[in-house]
Amino acid sequence: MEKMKDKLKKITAFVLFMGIIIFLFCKATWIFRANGEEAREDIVGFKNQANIDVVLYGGSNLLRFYQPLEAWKQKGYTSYNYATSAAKADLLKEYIEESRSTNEAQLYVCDIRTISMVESVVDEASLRNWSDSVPVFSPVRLKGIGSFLFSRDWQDQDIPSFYFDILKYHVNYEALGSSYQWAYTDLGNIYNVDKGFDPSLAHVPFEEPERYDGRGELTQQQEKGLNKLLDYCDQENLQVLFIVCPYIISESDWLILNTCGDIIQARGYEFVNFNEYYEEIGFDFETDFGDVNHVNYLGSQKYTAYLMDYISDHYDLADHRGEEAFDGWNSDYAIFAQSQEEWQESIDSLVAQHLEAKEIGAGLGDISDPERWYNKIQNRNFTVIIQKNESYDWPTDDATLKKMLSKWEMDMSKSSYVGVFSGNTCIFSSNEGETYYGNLGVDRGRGTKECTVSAGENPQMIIDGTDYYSEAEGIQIIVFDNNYQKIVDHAVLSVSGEEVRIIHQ
Amino acid sequence: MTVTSFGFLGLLAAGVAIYYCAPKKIQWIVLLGLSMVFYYYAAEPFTIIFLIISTATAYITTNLMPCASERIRKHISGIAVMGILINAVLWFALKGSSFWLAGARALQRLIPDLNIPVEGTLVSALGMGYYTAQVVGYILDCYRGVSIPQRNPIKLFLFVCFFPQLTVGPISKYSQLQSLYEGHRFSYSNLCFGSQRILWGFFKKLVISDRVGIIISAIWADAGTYTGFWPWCAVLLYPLQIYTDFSGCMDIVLGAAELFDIKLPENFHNPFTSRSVQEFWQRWHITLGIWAKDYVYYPVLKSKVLVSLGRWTKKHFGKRGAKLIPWAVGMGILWFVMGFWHGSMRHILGLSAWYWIILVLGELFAPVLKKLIQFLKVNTECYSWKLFQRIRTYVIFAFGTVFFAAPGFHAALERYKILYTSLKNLNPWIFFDGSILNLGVSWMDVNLVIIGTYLLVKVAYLRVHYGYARIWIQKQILPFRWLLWIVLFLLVLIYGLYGAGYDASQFIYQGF
Repeated sequence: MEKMKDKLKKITAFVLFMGIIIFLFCKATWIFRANGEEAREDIVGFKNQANIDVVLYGGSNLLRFYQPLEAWKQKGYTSYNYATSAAKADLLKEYIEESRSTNEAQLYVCDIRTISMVESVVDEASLRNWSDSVPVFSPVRLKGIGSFLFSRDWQDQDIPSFYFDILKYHVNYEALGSSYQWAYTDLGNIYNVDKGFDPSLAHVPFEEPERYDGRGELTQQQEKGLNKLLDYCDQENLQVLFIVCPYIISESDWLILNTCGDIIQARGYEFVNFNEYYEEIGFDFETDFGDVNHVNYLGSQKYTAYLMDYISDHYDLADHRGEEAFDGWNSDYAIFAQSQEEWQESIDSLVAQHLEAKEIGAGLGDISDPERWYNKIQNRNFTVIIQKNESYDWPTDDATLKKMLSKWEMDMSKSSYVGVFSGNTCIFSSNEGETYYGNLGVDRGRGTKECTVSAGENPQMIIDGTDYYSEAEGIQIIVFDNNYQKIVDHAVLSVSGEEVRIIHQ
Repeated sequence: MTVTSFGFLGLLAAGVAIYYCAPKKIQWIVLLGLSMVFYYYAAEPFTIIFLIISTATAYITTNLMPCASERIRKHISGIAVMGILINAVLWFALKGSSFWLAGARALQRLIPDLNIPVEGTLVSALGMGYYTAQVVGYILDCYRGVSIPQRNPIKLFLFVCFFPQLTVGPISKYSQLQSLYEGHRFSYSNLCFGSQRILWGFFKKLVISDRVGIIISAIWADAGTYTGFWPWCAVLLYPLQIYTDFSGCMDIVLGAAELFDIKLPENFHNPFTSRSVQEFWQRWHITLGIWAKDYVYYPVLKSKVLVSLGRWTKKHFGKRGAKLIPWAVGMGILWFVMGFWHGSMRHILGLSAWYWIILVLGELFAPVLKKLIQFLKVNTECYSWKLFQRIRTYVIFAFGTVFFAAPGFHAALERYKILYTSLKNLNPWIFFDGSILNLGVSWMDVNLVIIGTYLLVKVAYLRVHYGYARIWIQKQILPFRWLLWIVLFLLVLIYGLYGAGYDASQFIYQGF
């Protein structure tokens, strides 16, 4: 009897001790986690939301595109973006499974745009954005990590650190001094007012992408990932809408997504590729995109309006506005509306600047007054490339010329000069015959234009493969619009007698 | 897989579960299986052949001894020597390659037409120095009749490859590992003690040793910048690094074995409390010291040559000379073997010669020092005198380890030169101006090293008074006990230098 009692005591003590250790391990993990704050806030915040009618799953394409609180305001249904940046489509099954542990929705919306990004390489960030935002010992998390890693080339990965991410993050000692990080020791404190919306306040202009109706072949891994998701939806008998958010879609993506649409529809689910509805949505490709993959806030307003109409027209969702249990949504919207104003102001101003620069660029070729021309090219949306191939002794006291030469740090007695400036920033300046190698233009997923400028024995001004160098005597200047990624002026600065002249090429 | 890896912990957890679920009769087979899994992941799998060869030679030679006919019995010593030679040659060819490669290179330089293949690396077995020493000890024990030869070659193989001790020892005697073959019942205290010891080992290695290592490496990496007191700091900190590294690993190894209810011999016993160099080497790498004494030093002392030398010296140098000279010769051979075991000329010339000279000088001048102490009326029982002796021993050890830490013999000599020249421009302000932060550590790291060192001292004190610190902890009230282990767990979890970006996996003594 005594022995039995002793054994029982030891077992109890062991279980209790291990319980404390595991409890502290989990808390410490939350404190040290250093994956994207946005992802953690969105995923953990979801747990503290009640009665969500529509949950949307995907990557940043959802975070930047759809405003759940606007849908609440306009349509009265509750929705939430359960999404993390770079989320891979073959992990969406686990996203749904994990979210359902705290909330059963009426409609599940899956954005499968990233199916084309499902490849054999392990994209650590795409997994960690989600897995390191979920409780360590969540069975869905553990299962998800396994299925994600072991369906890829995992051999070079630090596998234990995916399961127990504190192994990776424990060196994030600054976290110990951050009240933000400590807040995660009580997950009940994490509340996401924006319901998973995080706008892009960037802007770059695009051309409307072409449409392709053909079909492409899915890789085995992509097909397996899609079927896993569909099997789960079948098994759980879920009402699911499969979508593809609009973006600057490539031909290969069109073909793959068309095939996915066929598979999904064959399984009896609805599939909408919103890239087919640019006109209906009302996109202006010159203003509504922040980068190649995301709309900016302007685009998100148009897309949200279209998607919420689509959802409310096609699904029978209750209007909760006026219900006491949903009062919190009204107060959240009030905060959100303030943010909306700020976002609107910010993006309007940015787009206006870019359009203004475009307009200035279009008129540069008509300006012959050097001072006026010089003032116009100071716009920070332009990159100014300057090249001089001879030494000059211009007999002039022209103030504008002096200002230019001083800013460019140009030594007129030297026979070579290369300078690259953007606004007031000097990117490169050399009187010693050095060659400039660089890239021009704002990237945002479009790529940039290679630029090589040299003076002296081998003068050249190559931009995107074309040499713009001309034999004209004087200082050659190319003005490049960074947003529109094009040359807006190519001029030669010279002096005739006492007169400073700008000759457009 | 190393003993600080997640894989090792997983193997241990799974191993313990399988081990205690298995019938007692086959528990040793479970250990063998675990050892094979460990070897597969920790070393080049094919090198297991070297362990098999060692086991086979040990098995054949020892099993020939008892059943030898009268005719063969005369040649038993020859059989034993043969077994030892095969193992020694194998070790020399692979692990001691630096010796013969140096010779081969010299020969190549002398006769360029020879074309001796002197480049490339030889892959030796994991822990070759350790298991070869065990096998040699086993053969000699059987030869002397101290141990009965193992009849089952697979069981003998387990003695050679038992996984916790394969990486860095300890060098166990066959008689000490009989519990490998016995059945064991699950014991809660073994689980607790084993886990606690592993945790303490992790703390020493990952929290203290690797942090100190950052400081030392940064100083030697830019010795031109870090002059004055810096190289002295590096030299005086190295014993702390190597102690926490080696003994930390031993704690993990001993703790891991304890989980299976197998007690391995201790390798350290508060070495920095030693008041003399002789005492130090009885407390540092104990199993290697015992091995060298049992199988090298005593046989050498009892050899005809040394006995004759004793007689000769007694005749010419009197009683003291008769004691001192054979002892010095015996110690010289012992230290030579110890240096040789470490596998390079710098260990022989630097490490072994250094300590041998210190020991011989200490013994030679012992009467003079004794008289001096009496003359100066020094109270040798007071704390400060003992502290002085301990510091002296520490400093002597620290100086010796320059040979150990340097990448080569000439590099070690260069470091001594730096130590000497740096005395000319001492810079005491470095202890106050925060320049330590340029060495890749923060104040938090420095504080952790200080706290860790304090804990080491505290544990050493408890070991003296209670046998083991954990015995003292066991006597405390439950919340205190739990708090202690939880804090230690969190310290390792948070402040351990492991994971991506760190290569804390290599132990200094793993190379042998």
